[in-house]
Amino acid sequence: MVDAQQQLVSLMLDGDRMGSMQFVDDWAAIHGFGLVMTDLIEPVLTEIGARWAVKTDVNLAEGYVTAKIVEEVMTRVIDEQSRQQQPSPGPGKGPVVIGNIEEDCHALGRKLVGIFLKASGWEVHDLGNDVTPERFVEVAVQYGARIIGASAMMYTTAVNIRKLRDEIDGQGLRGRIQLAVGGAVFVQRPELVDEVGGDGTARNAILVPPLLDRLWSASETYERGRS
Amino acid sequence: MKPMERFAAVLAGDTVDRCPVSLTLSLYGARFVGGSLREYYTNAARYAEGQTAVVEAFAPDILFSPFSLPLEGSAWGSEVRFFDHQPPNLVRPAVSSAEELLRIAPPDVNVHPQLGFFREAIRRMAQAHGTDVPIAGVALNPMELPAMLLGIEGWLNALLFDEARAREILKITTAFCVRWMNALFSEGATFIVTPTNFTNPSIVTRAIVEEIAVPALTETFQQLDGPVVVHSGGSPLSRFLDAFASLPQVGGFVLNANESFAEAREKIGAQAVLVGNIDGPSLGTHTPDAIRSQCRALLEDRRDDAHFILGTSGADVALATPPECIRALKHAAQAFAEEADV
Repeated sequence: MVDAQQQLVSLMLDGDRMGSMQFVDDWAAIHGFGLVMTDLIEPVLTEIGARWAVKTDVNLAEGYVTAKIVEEVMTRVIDEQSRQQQPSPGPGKGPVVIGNIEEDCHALGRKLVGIFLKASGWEVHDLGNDVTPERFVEVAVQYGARIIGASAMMYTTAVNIRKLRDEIDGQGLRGRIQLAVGGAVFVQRPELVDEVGGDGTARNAILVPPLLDRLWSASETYERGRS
Repeated sequence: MKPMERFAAVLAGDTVDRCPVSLTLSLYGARFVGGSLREYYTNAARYAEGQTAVVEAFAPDILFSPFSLPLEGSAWGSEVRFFDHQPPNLVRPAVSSAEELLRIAPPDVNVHPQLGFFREAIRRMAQAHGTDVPIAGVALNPMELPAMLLGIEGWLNALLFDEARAREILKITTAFCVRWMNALFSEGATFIVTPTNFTNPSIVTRAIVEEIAVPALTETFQQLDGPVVVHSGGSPLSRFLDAFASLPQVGGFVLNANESFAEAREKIGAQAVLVGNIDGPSLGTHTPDAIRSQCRALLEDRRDDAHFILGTSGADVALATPPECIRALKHAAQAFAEEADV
């Protein structure tokens, strides 16, 4: 099994979309599509994430290729389960609300985050671009999300996340709702996370699922401490 | 020395009275003329008026034409949104697929009203200041333009999964960018500043740069009527500088904040000008003393580098930046020169 995971890691990091899909099909023919996400894709993403965590030069293109492969695999798994009339296991984590902060319209990073979160079993509510602080909090409360993920590409829009921090705090939700922040500018200027009041960040999209695992736990710990 | 003389001296590696200072104050001019940013970024007379006010307030050694790349894309049909405190930004790309991009006609650089705004702004700036102050004509290059027209995702998708079509697109954008950049020279731009907001190590792979970007940029720049400065645009550039070093007509590079000039110099050789690298958008979050201290460290680092311009890096200096923070760069350059004279 580990060999299979390593082979797929290599194919994905080489950007071999067709080869990756063929590998997944072959693997599923033996083990079944029901195990693809849990026994193949999730460990593979964990491995790629671990490699990227220590690599300083991961670029969006590499993340994009990986996300496209993962997205295709997820579609294939859902289609196969539907064809075989198997119930979809559905997301096991979350919900989480993500979006680009007010005045930010750079969608790609956020989309990749959504793909990797779904692949890791998260229920994701993606609000799209240019989302106001009020809208973020309204939807988070509506779905009972413990995490809001706000994305910004540039400094000029990243500072708008401070207003989201204030909105969360102003509604008495600090601790209960954790604020994850991300985007190119946070990679270049890590100190900006504190400046805008973020509770955590990740260097790239594939590292967001483990970040959200930690933030979810932090939210639960906070609530247990209050009760 | 006048800014133009200082600029020419740095290009040639000659002695200057002080290190030139480049301040990206395209947006900041709006602070002096009032009115909405929509008007500022659509009315060339208003824009030029703002840049004259910038000259009067800060006497920078370089002036910038409108630094709004999405506005350039809007001439092709992209939709932009205007804001109260930042330049217009892209909200909807002109096309939704690479295939569609190949079907649309590029705008005519001589008659399109949106492009006319940029041209008239440069013409007015050149008439008012062009003999004394170098004017940087900001323009997208053929690798960057498709990101404005297709969106980053669409352009990445073409480059990664449909290379033949990506190369067809580059033929179109190369031809357009040659016409467009030369049009800016004809209006009075001293040099072209072209960003690498897309073609940088945080977005694309080295293979894309070496096999696709460099040939397209080479073909474009070698047909230009003047020099080019490659601007990091807010993303790290250094890791690709070796690939860009041999591009024709390129006279300089603006590094991103925190990038090493010494490392960059090793990659590009002794002749090209290096510019930067005080972060422009966050300038106002520091005290003038802190900025002077940062500048002094850079000037000390570049003491023996005859091809260095102190300046802001990244996107525009933010509108809310206190003027004394902006003046701190020039004060630092003057003080450093005076110390050297003693």
